[in-house]
Amino acid sequence: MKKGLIISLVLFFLFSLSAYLYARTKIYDQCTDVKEIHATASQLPPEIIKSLAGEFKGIMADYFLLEAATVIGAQNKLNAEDWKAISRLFKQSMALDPYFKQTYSLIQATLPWEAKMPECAIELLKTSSRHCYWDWQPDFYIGFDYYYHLKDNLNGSKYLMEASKKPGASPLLGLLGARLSQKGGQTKAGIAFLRTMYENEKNEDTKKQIKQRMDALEGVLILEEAIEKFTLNFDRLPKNLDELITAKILTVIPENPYHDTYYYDHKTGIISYDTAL
Amino acid sequence: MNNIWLLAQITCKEGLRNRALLGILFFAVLLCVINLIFTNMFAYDLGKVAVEVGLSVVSISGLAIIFFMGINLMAKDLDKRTIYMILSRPISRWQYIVGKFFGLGLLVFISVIILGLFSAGSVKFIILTVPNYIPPDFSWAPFLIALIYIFISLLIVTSIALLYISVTSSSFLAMIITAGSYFIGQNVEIVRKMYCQAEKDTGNEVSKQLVEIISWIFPNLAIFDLKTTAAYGLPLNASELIWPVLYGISYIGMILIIAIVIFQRRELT
Amino acid sequence: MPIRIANLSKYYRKGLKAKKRAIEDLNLEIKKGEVFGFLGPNGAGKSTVIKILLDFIRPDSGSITIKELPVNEPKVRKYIGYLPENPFFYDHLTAEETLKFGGKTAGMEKGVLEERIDQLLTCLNLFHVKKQPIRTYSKGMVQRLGLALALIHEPEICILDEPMSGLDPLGRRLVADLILDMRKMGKTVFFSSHILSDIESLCDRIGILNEGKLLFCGPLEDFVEESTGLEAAFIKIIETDRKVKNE
Repeated sequence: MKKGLIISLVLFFLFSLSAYLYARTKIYDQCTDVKEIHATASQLPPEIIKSLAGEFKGIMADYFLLEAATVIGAQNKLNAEDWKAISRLFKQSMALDPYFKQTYSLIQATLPWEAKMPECAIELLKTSSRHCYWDWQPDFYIGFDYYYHLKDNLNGSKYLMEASKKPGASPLLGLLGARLSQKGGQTKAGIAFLRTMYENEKNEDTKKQIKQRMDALEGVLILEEAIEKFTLNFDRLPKNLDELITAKILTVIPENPYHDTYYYDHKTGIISYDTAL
Repeated sequence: MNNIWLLAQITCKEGLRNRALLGILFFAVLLCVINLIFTNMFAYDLGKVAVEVGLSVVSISGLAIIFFMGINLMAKDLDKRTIYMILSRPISRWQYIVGKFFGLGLLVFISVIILGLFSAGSVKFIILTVPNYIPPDFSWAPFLIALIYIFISLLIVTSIALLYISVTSSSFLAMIITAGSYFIGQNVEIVRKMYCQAEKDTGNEVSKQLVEIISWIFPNLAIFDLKTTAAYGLPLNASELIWPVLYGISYIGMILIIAIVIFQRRELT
Repeated sequence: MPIRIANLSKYYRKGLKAKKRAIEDLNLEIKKGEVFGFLGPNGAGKSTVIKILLDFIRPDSGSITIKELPVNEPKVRKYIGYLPENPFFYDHLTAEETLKFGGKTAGMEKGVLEERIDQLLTCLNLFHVKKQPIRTYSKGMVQRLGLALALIHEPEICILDEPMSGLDPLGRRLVADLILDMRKMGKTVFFSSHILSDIESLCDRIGILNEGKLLFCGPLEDFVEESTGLEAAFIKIIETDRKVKNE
């Protein structure tokens, strides 16, 4: 090669390389400072995706699920659009592989809670339940969602019963189902539910999340019982939570693992650990 | 320089007259028509579906052209010795590579324009017939920009194909490796982000480094995917638009230079 | 001196270590205005030498210059017209487009080029297919087009690799006449061939290559003994060389 050619090639290469590096840094985020990843899910109906995936359905299912998981894991605050896309990804993943446990676990962990889409979760879980005839968990989750999020004890009880029939189900499920018909005791039942989920969950991260919720509910329970005591003693609802301490019913207000304090509505006497719930 | 343009011209002409190109374009136009029928299967956001499918058609056809025709156009040169016709003229090897690249780029450009028009046509048709179902912020500027970005990502794939062809003359091998590179390029970003976020070091330092290295070598093609933005008319930050373009062009430059160096030393028996 | 080859050697790698000798220490000079014939059995290395002249293959050692310029410079090929052994073209282009490409890359002006295209195509009996795509051509027509492409820019030196292959007797006469015309115009022609009758009728000097070595280089008359003819002399020299090698 001629010298002139070599030199110009090297120069061009160095120039391109520096442009490349510069542009790259401008585009790429720092590891700790992840800009919004918006979930993008194809608009194609799941059936078409199924036929397009052909023999690679399983891999595509994994891929959609990973995409959803990445978006969920990336940020703390996702807006409604993101959740819609994520639920679509779940749907597509489910359509391609309805047996995948990871899918329905993640659905249950996110959709009814942060996304506030329990109906969507229930619909997806029903697909799982249909296919995983050996697994009691989908029905269990459906029951929980009906009961806790949709306040529909009837359906909650029904699905819990379904769950208890499936192999490997704890006999407690039947009891829980029965308990649901009982009015009140919602928080206690919720805690019992969560405890079952906690004991059956293998994934450490999910376990932590369940524990967090359990702690939150247990705090709610303590406060509810304290408020009941207060109401019995003083014939009225306390004005705020501090009154419980001054009345010597509680020594300390339990900590809310999600926010600074528990939210108390002194008009209705209802405690919640999240403003929206 | 004139030589480069002349070579680009004959490369493009040869590609255009190949019946396979007609096949691909016809198929793509057909898809655009199907797009119209297809869109009516949805209840909401029809405009969004139309845009997404339309742009996807442009992308897929572009890839088909590169893989089935572009690679052949180059491999044929080496296989069937048509390259003698070119290199027996006073054209240097680097001019050959650059000329070929521009010729193929021109081919891709023409198909992007044709398909872009058809795709825009189908979107316009939908806008006219069902105006209620268009996302409120839709406008043509993001659509155009998305098309430009698709074109750039196709150019990147073309340059990679050219690189592999100059290494091996087997069109099959080059096709496979380019397809693999395309796939990696599309997914490298999301994999890298997943690894980046792994809070606990699950003992995967090695994989993390490997992913990092791969993300430097292979082009990040996902940043050129603006289909959703175009579909919804999401806001585009004008100053940020230029970086992917610079990224793409500089990457192409480097790949072409490597291809030139390899090809310069190649023996044409 | 139009073509000067000095100490040219080229080896091919055979397996991991063994080197197969393709050309060994070749020294050759082609004089201006002569028609030089390059002979040798199959696999002797004739095409290799020609490809080295065109910078398709790089030599392992030696210096090759054309018009005192090293062959690895592209501008050298402005003075060369090359016809490969089996020419292939872009099938969907027409003869006119191909020749236009050839001429323009060699720096010809548009008007001159168009005239020359018509003239050359007529001369080679291809004018009637000027605007038809090359994939419709017969083998002979492709070969003649190859010749046209080699001559379109009126090069001083023509390097032809088996120019008569695939041509019917009419085509062969056409090419032979063209070569003689070129000599008349003072151009240098270097071609390789198997067809000894063509060599006999066209060449001033010949070179004989066997297994990479030049066995003879000089005027045709010096080589051919009156009684035996070119073919016999050729076979004799090759067989002698082979016997020597086997000993």
